[in-house]
Amino acid sequence: MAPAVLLATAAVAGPPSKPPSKGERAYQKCYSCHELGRGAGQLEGPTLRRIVGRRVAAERGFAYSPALRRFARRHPRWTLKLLDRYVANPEALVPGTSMNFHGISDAAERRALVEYLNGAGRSSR
Amino acid sequence: MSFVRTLAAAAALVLTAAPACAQAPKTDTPATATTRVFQLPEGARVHDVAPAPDGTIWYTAQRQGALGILDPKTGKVRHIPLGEGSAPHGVIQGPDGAAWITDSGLNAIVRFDPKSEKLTVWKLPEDAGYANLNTGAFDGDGIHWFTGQNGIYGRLDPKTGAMRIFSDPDGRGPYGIAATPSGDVYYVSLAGSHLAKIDRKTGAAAIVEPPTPAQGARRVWADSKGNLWVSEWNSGNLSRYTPATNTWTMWKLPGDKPKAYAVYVDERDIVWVSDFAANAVLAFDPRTQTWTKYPGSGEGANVRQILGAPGEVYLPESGTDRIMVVRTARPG
Repeated sequence: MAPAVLLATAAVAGPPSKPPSKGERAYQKCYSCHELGRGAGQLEGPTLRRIVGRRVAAERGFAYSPALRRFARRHPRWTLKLLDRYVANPEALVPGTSMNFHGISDAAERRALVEYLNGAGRSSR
Repeated sequence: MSFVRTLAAAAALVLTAAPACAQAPKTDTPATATTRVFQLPEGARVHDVAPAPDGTIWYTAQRQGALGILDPKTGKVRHIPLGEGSAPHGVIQGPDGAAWITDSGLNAIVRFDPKSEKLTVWKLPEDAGYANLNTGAFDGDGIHWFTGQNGIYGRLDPKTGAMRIFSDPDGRGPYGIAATPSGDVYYVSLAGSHLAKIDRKTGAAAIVEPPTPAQGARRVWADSKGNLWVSEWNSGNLSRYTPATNTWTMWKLPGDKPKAYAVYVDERDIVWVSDFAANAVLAFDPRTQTWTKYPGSGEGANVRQILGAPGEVYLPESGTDRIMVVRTARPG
């Protein structure tokens, strides 16, 4: 019962000129809620622009959960390692987070995502 | 609310509904409504629910990659694993009596046959990419339509397995989807802040802009007359679109800075909407313009979808791993 597929139009994020990297593919799991631009859009989550090194829960005007604001007092900035831990299991690192994402268990995929976010942040400076 | 939380700790308790809509312009006391709270496996992170043909309740255990089956007569729960990587979001009952699941983890539509317990999986095409599949609905011709929050919607013909994927005109955001009594299908876009009607023949989406800019249309449901009710996450409005007159009516949810998430219209045309800010679900009667408040069974209940069967409304609490069942029918 294999599906016969007709892709009516390109689906997500526009057709890339080259195959997406592993990190870019992983970012598709974040894409519906997080952009890489300057933020202040209508998305449900804050922008991931310059996320590595950025202060935790610090996007102006964004309504962070009390849990993440408490977390920010102990962990003031997103590091590569901290992002990796968060992406692995958001609820475990920040119990009560409002981010409804249950994590990426594959360590290589996580690493590719965090590196992609780091690179995307640098390129948008 | 403490008595609710205390009693809800055990499975399958019967509670009298406790309307507590202090800031509502009007309140109503549902003297005949009762609630029962069922505890699910810890960490299930129930997302959506649907009535099954045999009186049980299906739910998506999003974090545990399973379809849950709750027997409300006994409180017993079973989990049907959906496969490695599964993270199911939506579940509905199809016209064939099966559970149809939009599985964001598998990037696939999954059918569960309750008689044979066979699972059938339709993967999205590779070139569609990761869709972040959200919710599904069947049109009047038996076609399964679904949304993907990364910017797509699609159709699956259960008879042939043929699948087509379409891009939302505004990109990312397609979320709730529902069919009207006449069999038409509408969906809403959370990031795109629009309602859209799908042309069932061509698949094209005709956008219907709600009056409130950037309102964050999250979920949609149809009433018995074919009007579309929309829960607006950003604005905190409950809005109604009347296709026959192309008009909108909006109601601000009572309370401080409401966040309207789920919406469902029951068989009496009572409109149920969850409010994350109030940690409650509100039942709105459009005829009397009254709201009835059903507090969550615990802190941060976070009801992300609502569905029911005649005389019953199901409130899946993603934050407490519980399902609250509201019995609305009058006894006798």
